[in-house]
Amino acid sequence: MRTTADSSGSTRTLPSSIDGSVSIDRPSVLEGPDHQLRRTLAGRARVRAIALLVGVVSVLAAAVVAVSVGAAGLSVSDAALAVADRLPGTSALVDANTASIVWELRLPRIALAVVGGAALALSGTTMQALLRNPLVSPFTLGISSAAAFGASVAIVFGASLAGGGRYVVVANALACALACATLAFSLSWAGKLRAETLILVGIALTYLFGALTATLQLIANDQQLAAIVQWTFGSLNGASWEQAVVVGLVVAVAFPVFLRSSQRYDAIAFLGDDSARALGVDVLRTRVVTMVLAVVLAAVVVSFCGVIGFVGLVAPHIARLLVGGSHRTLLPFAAICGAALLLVADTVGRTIVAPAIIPVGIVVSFLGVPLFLQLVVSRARAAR
Amino acid sequence: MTSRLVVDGLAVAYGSTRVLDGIDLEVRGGELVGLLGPNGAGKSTLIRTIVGLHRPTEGRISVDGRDVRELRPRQRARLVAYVPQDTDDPFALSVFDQVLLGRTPHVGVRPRHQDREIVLETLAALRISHLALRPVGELSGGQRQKVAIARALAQHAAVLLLDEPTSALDLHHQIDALQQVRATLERTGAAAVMSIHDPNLAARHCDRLVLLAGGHLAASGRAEEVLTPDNVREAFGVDADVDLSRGHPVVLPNGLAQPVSEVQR
Repeated sequence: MRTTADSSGSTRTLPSSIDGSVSIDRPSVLEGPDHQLRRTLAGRARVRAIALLVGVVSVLAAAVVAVSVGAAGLSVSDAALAVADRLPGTSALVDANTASIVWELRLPRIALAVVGGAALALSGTTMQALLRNPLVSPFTLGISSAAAFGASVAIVFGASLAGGGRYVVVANALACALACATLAFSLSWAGKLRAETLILVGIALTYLFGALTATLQLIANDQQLAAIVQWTFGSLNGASWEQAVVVGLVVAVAFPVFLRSSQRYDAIAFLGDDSARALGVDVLRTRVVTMVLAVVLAAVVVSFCGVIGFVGLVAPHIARLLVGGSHRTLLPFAAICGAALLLVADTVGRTIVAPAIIPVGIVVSFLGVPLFLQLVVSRARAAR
Repeated sequence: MTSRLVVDGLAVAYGSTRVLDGIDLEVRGGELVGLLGPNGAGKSTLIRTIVGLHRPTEGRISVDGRDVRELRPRQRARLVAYVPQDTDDPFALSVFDQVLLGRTPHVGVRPRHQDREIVLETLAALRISHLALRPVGELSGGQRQKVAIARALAQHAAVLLLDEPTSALDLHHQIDALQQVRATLERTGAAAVMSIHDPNLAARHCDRLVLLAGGHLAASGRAEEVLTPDNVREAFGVDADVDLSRGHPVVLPNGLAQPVSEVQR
């Protein structure tokens, strides 16, 4: 679409670009490099659109595979029938057991992996942009270690993980993550919100909550200790439809806001606060609104799934290496990369040594690190 | 032609420290005014205040007759464009996309076809179309400076503020950058204020000079009125001869002046 607009528009506006004086300052607007450049730019827009399309199709394909593999050993057709089983207008295509494996175990897990991965990636992308630092992840503000502390408190002092105890753990993790982010914001607030201050305060808080969790581990019994360690690995084992819907809703609120702000993100990330303000961008407001949304995105995912840190750091980078840094394209593509990474990692983790399940947090690193290194190194070699 | 930029009785303070006081300045369309002065004299502060990055404690700044403090940031950004000293980009954006950022005050949710056309025109005018798809980080200092100027030009503002655009450049690129700025002003009728360290370059390329010292206006006018041995000694603490070469004053420094009480304020 954008391509045709460009090529038809270029002929329309050519007269205006040579109107008035054809001065020595403005050579060859009509032909030569400029014409070539227009075509290259149009091609670039087309590549980006195709990349988005390929990404969406890949995530869907990965979801189809993920539905049909697993410990229960269903065939692809069984899984397909089971998916159809509970759609309106069908009845009893498969036995109740198969239907419930697919609808109560696999589909919510897949849905949570997709929206959770997208949420972490969006959170990481916006934080990297607004703190102008490619090393930042959603957890730079101390969110993950605060959430781990909250979960540990619940595990040690609160409930068993059975029944209502799960919700206590989730609620505690969420509350601590949000409290930590609030603390980071208020400590670094000095009439404005400087990126460097925020990063340093966040790192300090990460260590503080890490120390608190370590203290709890000293007084925990063996069973509690195992539960804490398990939680910090990150896992989608407890995925439910409610969790997927909650994360999905937060993404549905945040993503349009992010997308509408992408021009402002570009100005802040690529030019810095001063130049962005000189371009009329309300840097403070953009930073506060976006960071609050990014914190909530990451905090909700972490409190449901434990610490899956790497997705939020690496998905933005993979996306940036593939489609470039402009946030209008980068944001949706990073979300797709995050969703794909988490979904594939979880599917591998629950099938490779089935019926045992490797926590997704571990698999994400094993899959993501080689992919990331390959992209970084090949890019560096290409630039040489 | 009437003045496009008027600065009237401007004062700026950081906390209780006054860094600028009693600054008056008028710049007409097409005119390039050079801002000279020692480090810490307030050149950058003056530029940043006109752009809207500092709030003046006194005085008034108007562009085309409109008080910039009464404008919303986006409206102001359509009138005043800023070329900062060399900036860092932690991510790698292409030259085309960088210059497209200059359209930010005119863009709603996404840039339109017209914005991209303006970027192409600006790149062609500065003769950097061939760099359009290169990441800015890979460019030389001179090329990066041109990209920064192109971004400000794509803003289509009435007033251009340039903070030491030549300080990182070699002789060739200094002259090239200044000629590009001049050509732009002639083409667009915009007014420009530029801080610059080299008095001879300023004398050669600017219409008028303003000498700042200690936050005050030490002298302003044509180059030969501003660049006198007395003014150079008072502002910079440097003993210098001033010759005339092809009608432009040339400052030839001989050495540091004996400490004078006025210099150390």
